[in-house]
Formats: sequence, structure tokens, C-alpha cells
Amino acid sequence: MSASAPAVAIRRTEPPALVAWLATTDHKRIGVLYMVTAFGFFLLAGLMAMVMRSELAQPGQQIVSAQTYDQLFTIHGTLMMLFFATPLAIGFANYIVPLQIGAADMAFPRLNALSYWLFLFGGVIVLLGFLTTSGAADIGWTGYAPLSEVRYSANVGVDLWIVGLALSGASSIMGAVNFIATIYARRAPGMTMFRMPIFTWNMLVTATMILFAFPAITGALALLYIDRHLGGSFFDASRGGDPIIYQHLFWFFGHPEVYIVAIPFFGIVSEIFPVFSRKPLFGYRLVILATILIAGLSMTVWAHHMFTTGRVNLPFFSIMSLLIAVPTGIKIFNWIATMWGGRLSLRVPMLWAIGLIYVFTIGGITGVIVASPPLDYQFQDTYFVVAHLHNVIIGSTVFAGFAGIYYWFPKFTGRFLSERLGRLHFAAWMVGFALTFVPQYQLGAEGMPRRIVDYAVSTGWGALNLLSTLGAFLLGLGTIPFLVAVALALRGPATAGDDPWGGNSLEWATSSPPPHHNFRRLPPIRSERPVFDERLARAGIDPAAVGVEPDVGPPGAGAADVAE
Amino acid sequence: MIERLRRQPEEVLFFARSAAFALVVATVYWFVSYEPAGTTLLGLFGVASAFAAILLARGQRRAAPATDPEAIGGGPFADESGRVPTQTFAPLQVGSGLAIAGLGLVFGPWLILAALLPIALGAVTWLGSVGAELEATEHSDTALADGMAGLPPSVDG
Repeated sequence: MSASAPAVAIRRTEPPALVAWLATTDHKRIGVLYMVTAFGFFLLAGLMAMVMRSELAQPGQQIVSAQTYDQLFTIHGTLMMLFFATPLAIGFANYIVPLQIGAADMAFPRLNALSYWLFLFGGVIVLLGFLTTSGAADIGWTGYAPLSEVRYSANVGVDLWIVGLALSGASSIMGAVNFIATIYARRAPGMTMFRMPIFTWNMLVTATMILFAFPAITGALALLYIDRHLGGSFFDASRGGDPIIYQHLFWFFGHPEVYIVAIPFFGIVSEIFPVFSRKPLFGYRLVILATILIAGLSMTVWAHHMFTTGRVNLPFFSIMSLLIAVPTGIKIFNWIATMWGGRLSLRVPMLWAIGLIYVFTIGGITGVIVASPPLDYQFQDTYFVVAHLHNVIIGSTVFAGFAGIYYWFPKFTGRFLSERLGRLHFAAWMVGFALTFVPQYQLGAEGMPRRIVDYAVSTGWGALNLLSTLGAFLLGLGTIPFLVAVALALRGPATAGDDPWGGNSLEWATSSPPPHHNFRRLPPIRSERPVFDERLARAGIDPAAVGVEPDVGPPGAGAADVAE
Repeated sequence: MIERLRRQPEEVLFFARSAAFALVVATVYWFVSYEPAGTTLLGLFGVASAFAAILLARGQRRAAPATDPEAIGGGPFADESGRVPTQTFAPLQVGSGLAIAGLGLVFGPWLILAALLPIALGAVTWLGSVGAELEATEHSDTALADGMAGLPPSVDG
């Protein structure tokens, strides 16, 4: 961009920026759109959480009415699960997967753009409920029948919720088809299945899960709509229907959904640990196998959410749920083994990745607790489950999400995010997270129910709730350094270079940001670490003779210090 | 049968294993619970996976790669590469149309009628550009098509 004449020529042919974004079919731009939109929904849902925590900080109703509170926790859960966590993963994948497999774009670029627009409009339609006189949906993010039947929830917000979720579900299914087709049919020569980066493998598994799980919720929503407006009685027991069927359909989607949002983020940290440990990923094939096992088992455990209905087979679902801990544990041990004996570089992406191990593992262990029916009967619908859910979801999605943003931001923009602000951001979230959710485990154990707007002074829950609220505000304030870091980075010069961390996979073999068709040339692909192999080749080292990664090329530490 | 399965590429085996797993679990689940909803869901998961595996295996056979992809340095399972489309408003038009149609389910069928215009506009633009790309690909030589598709030259050749 140093010569002015070509710049003028390019400018003449390029459409205005807004048009370029609205009409884009480029997977990188669509990825950015996904990530920015998902993060917007995250901030909005986070603000809702802070309002709810403010209300619960002390006994008595101070801030919102019971009905508004119901709307807030419904939309908070819906946005976080379906309009933040899933789309953020899809955003990362949109940007990164074609690059990692050496493709010029997704298999179906226009369908990719349509998926984004349906997701955006779906989210907006869910939020439109707040503008109606009866308010947004107030039925919980699970939308259980019969509460969601028109007899108990006649408000239009519930219909908007149904339509918004249906659009978003269609978007996810289209996206899944696109990812599978892209990974199967657009890989570069040499990129066999077992040379694909772990993140791409994880997205293949996730896309397959979406393909099998999302139709269940889309079907459930369609049946619910028919019940509400077309005289159906699928879930209405008074007219021969069965509300438990709704729970089956919902959780056949809902439990895999937890892993649909977790597995891509496991993929992100599986990319980060090797790079910042200067070692290959420990047990590449074992990690893939563990991912597939987690995905398969997660499709068979849905009814552990329904233990207390009294209408599910407790031993079957308990055993299957406990089994998931095995492949999950394998992954965690593989990450630790990757770090073991490596030359660790504790840069911000690595800090978030290590943070994930702590936070997610606590969620996993408490998951084993609630997979046991006698304990689940005690903890069902208490704050224990709320804390467990947040440990799992925030532990995977948010911690790995931030890890991924700090890691790939130089690729997206050519710029580093501030290391100092990143550390502040991370510290605030680690402390804030513990402060928010550890008290909730105790509150749950003491029997505080979820989804209540108020509690009596005599319960003695005030102090723990106050602590939890302070933690939530720390999480909110802790996000500000990240926003400042992004703003500062975007205003600063592009100093990151093409491969600032010494990466392994193909996205680091192209410029930052990559050109329109991604690559001008590809290195030979002879292993799952083609960029590392090429660095070795340039240094005149035979990859086969290397046991521990030698210092070649830009180290994960050092080079990035220019950020400060 | 097992030998033939073993010869299938990983892309097919991925879905074949899913199918086997889901069908076994569905069977076990039925005999421990006699619960139809869950058995149906698990069974459909298995059948859908099997369908995908069979479809992929048949497609693979039709494409008939003479050699093992690993042996020739590896390659994609199929070829979906083509021209990378230029910018178009078609997805936005179709998406906004579908969203308006969705709102019609809430606020009245007149919105569904209103949605027909952007959906039709988007569909026409979409199909038109796909047709133009196909035609252009057919009329261009291989090198140009590769260049347009953004296929990078591989060092391996």
C-alpha cells in the first residue's frame, strides 16, 4: 500500500465499505461479522446478568419486577447459548477453517452469508419481544411446555422467541452442511484427514453434531407453535398431549448443544497449547478420538436433565453421563502432557487456555456430581446447577474464546492486542469468575432455587448473594480492558507479521490479514504441522530427526513483545 | 463387508462409525427403557449417519480414485472447488425475506406476502450468479479456472 497509484486504482473498483460488508461472501468477512455480532449479544446478555445479580444482591425486590426478571433470565440464557456461544464458534471456524485446510473459501460461500443473516435476524427477532407491550419471552431458555403453551404464556414475546430460534436453528444447520462440505471437499493437496489441524477436526465433529441435534429443537419449536396457534395438542396433557415429549426433544438438542459450544473451543486451546509450549500436541490422534467419543456420548445423555420427571431410565443416563468424563479427562491430560517438558511461554492466549483447564475442570467435576441421580434429586433447579452450567459454558466458551481472539487477532488484523491489558483482563476474569460462581455452589447446596427474583432474609443467603453480585460486576468491569485493547490495536500500526507466534497450521503461512483468496502459495503438507515443517526445512533440519522442537523462526514469546 | 468397509476413506468411516454407535445405543436403550421418544431420536441419529455414510461411499465409488489419497500425497475427498463468488446482496435479500416471513407467523400472514418480494429478488440474483459462474467455468481453460478459484500453486506440484 506504499505506492499511491495502485491504491487509487483499487479504490476505484472497490464498493463502499458498508456495501462490501453487506454483500460479502468472503468467509473471512463473514467470520468477522459472526464474531462481532456474537460478542455484541454477549455484552447485552452480560448486562442482563448484571441487572439480575443486582436484584439478588440482597433480600427484597429493589430493581425489577418479577415478570421483567423472568424475561431477563430467559433472554440471557437464550442469547448466551444460541446467539453468543454457538455463533462465536462458527465465527472462528468461518475465518480459520478454510485457512487451515488451504482452501480459497467455504464450499458454499453464498449459503454461508445466508447463514449469517438468518442468525442475525433471529437474534434481533428474539430481542424484539422487549418492544412489545407484553414483553419478551419469560419461559426460561428451555421453553418447557406446558408453561410455554398459550394457556400460560399468551404473550407475543414467546412467539418471537420461537421464530427467532427457528431462524437461528436453520442458520446453524446450513452452516453445519457448509463446514462438512468444505472440510471434505476443499482441502488442499496433501491435507489428509489425519493431517488436519485439531481445530478443524473439532469443527467437523461439531458440525456433525449440529446436523443431528438441531433438527430436534427446530421440530419441537414447530410443534410448540402448532400447539399455540393451530389447535395442536402435542404437549398439552389436558388434550391428550405429553409435555415430557417436549423435554425429550429439547434436551436431545440441548445436551449436545453444551458440547457443540464446547468442542470448537477445545479445538482452539488444542492449537494454543502446542504453540506456546514449543511442542507438538501430545497424542494428536488420541485427542481426535476423545473428541469423537465426547460427541457420540453427548448425543446419548440428554435425559439426565430429566431425572426428576420420574419418567426416564436413571441407570442408563447416569452411566452414559459418567462415561463422558473419560474422554474429557483424556483431553485435559493431553493438554497438560503437551505443556509438560515444554518451553512454556505464558503469553495472554496461553493464560486463557490454562484458565480454561481450571474453570472447565471444576465444571466437569460438578457435572459428575449431578450425573448421579440421588445427588441430582437434591440439586435439581438449585443454584448448584446454575454454577455448574456456568463453569462448563464460560470455562469453555468464554475462556477459550478470549484465548482464540488474543491468539488469532494478529492474523485477523496484522496487529497485536495489548499484552498488559490482556493480563489485566484475564486476572479480572479469573478472580471475578470464582467470586461469582463459587458462592452459588454453596447457595445451591443450601437449597436456593434458580429463577427466583427474591428470597427471605431468614434464609441467610444474603451474604453469599452479595459476594456473587460483586463477582459479576468484576466480570463486567474486567471486560473493559479487552474492549480498550481492541480499540487501541485497531488504531495502531500493523506490526504483527504473518506468523508472530511461530504457529503450526496453514493460517500462519499467509499474510495477516490474508488476501481475498487466502494464499499466494502453500507449503508442502506432509504432517499436521506444515508451517512448522517448512520452518525446519528452511533452517536445514530434518523434521524426522527432531524430538523436541528446536528454536527456529519466531518464538511464541520474544517476537510478540513488540506489542508493548 | 467388513473388508469393504475397511477400504473406505476416513470421510466415510467417520459417518459409518457414528451410525454403528447410534444404532447400538438405540437398541440397548430400547431394551432397558421401552421408551419410544428417545429410541426414535437415537434411531434417527443412526439412520441419518448411515444415510450420510452410504451417500458418501457411493459418491466416492463414482468418483473412483484409482489410488489411495495418502499414496498420492493426499487430497480432498471430493471437489467442491469452483469460482469464488463475487459480492452479492442475494443472501441478505433471502435472509431478510425469511425473517419477515417468520414475523408473519407472529403478526399476520400479510407479512408473509410482503416477504415474497425480497425472497424472489434474492433467489433470482442467486440463481443468476450461479448460472453465470457455471457458464464462465465451462468456457474458461483449466488454468484460468484454477486461478479464479483461488487455488494456490502447491510446492508439491
